[in-house]
Amino acid sequence: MKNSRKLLSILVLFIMLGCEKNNKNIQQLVAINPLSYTDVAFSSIKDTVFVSTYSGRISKRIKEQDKEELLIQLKDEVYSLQYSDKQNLVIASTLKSGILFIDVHTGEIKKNLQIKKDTWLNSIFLSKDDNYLIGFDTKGNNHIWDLNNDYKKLDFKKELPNSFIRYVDKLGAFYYQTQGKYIKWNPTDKRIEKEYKISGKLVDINDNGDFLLLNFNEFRMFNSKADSLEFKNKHPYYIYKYSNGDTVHDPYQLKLTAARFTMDKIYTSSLDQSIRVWNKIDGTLIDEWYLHNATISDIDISKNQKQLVSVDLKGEIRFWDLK
Amino acid sequence: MDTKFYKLLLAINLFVTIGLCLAYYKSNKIKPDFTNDIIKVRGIVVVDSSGVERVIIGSPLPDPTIHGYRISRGDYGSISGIMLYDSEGQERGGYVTDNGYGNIFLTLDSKTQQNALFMADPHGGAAIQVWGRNGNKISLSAGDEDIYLDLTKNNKTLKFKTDEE
Repeated sequence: MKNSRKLLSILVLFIMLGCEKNNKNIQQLVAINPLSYTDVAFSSIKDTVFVSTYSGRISKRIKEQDKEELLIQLKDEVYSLQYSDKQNLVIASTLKSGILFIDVHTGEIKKNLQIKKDTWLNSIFLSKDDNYLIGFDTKGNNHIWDLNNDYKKLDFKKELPNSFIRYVDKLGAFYYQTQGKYIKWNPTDKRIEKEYKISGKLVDINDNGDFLLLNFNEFRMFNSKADSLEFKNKHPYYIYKYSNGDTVHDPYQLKLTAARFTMDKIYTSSLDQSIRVWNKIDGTLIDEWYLHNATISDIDISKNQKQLVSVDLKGEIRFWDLK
Repeated sequence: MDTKFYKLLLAINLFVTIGLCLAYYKSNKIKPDFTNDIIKVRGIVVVDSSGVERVIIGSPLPDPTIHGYRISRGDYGSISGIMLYDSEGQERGGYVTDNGYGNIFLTLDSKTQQNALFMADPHGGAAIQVWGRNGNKISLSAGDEDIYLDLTKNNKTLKFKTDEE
């Protein structure tokens, strides 16, 4: 018996040393880039946002303050952020840690929703009433969490096969993208409300029910009531900036990275490092903002629609007061 | 007997701990010299002055980054080799072998897609492909049986064969 205890003590010592060695072998060649902002989300009416990086940093940025206020440093990559007003939480989608719900005051992880191994969500979307969190993973599996029902997962795979959830409107209807069309799905009655023949990545729906979609370097404004495409457009040129401040227009239409509605305008950002402002009625170009010097990875618009924030892959953030 | 053993274990622990502390202190003072060594690692990351990865040598290499997120190479897309990244940390090309079938690739990518590929099959044969968007592509390949030159403009294919007149 005594000998067994001695043996056990020695065994534990060796296991501890062995574990220390093995831990070194699980390093990955990811979560390195500390510079690029991957996403941005407003956390107040204006001037204050949360930003994320590939290196796992989630920080608060305040307008006209140069320094970040660190919320949490994760040992993981962060791709997408949402801010929950109701719960005062930042919701982050990560490479290996799943979806994290982080208290904005303490930086404490309040909840962790696990995703299957070797897959992750590049984009998450929180419904405007904070009821549903949605997204699909890199293997094409939809994820819908009912945040008011103990994070219960909703699954409509049987009813809506081969479709990807993209959006939840203010009335709680889900929008699924499937071969060349969108399906408006009522999750309560479990029935299709309407189908729309439009393709592209649905990024925003305004109060009139109009869709804003991205299709590589083109954005589309779709009138869902009339079931017709109102207009589509591209950034007309790439604005090359010389060091002396002069600019030249190169005839390239690069990929769009984000787009948002306001009451009367559409804002689009691109790999071309610019934000373009469009008239929502007829799609004419109103303005172009080209103060960023890197790919703009994301934009967000404040709830009162009076401010836009943009972040880029070289760590620049800009607040734009809207007219 | 028990007390004796634990005393001995404590003494050994103390001895090992002091030894490790000394070794750690000493190792911090000495700059490692690898000039006469062979270094065996699973990965090397070269970062720029901002800490952004610019070169990764790895086995396997990570999935590609693309303007703010990371896409999967797929279940059979695992590769090893050297990968280059631009100043925004975007994957822009590499010199790699795949971890399954055994192809070797040299690739050049824009910020949104692969645009040039030079590839050799493990069983013989090689191909060069360059392409843009909107269905413009040039392919040149040679195998044991034949050679091919395929030109595709706006998704319309014009095919040349060795015996075509």
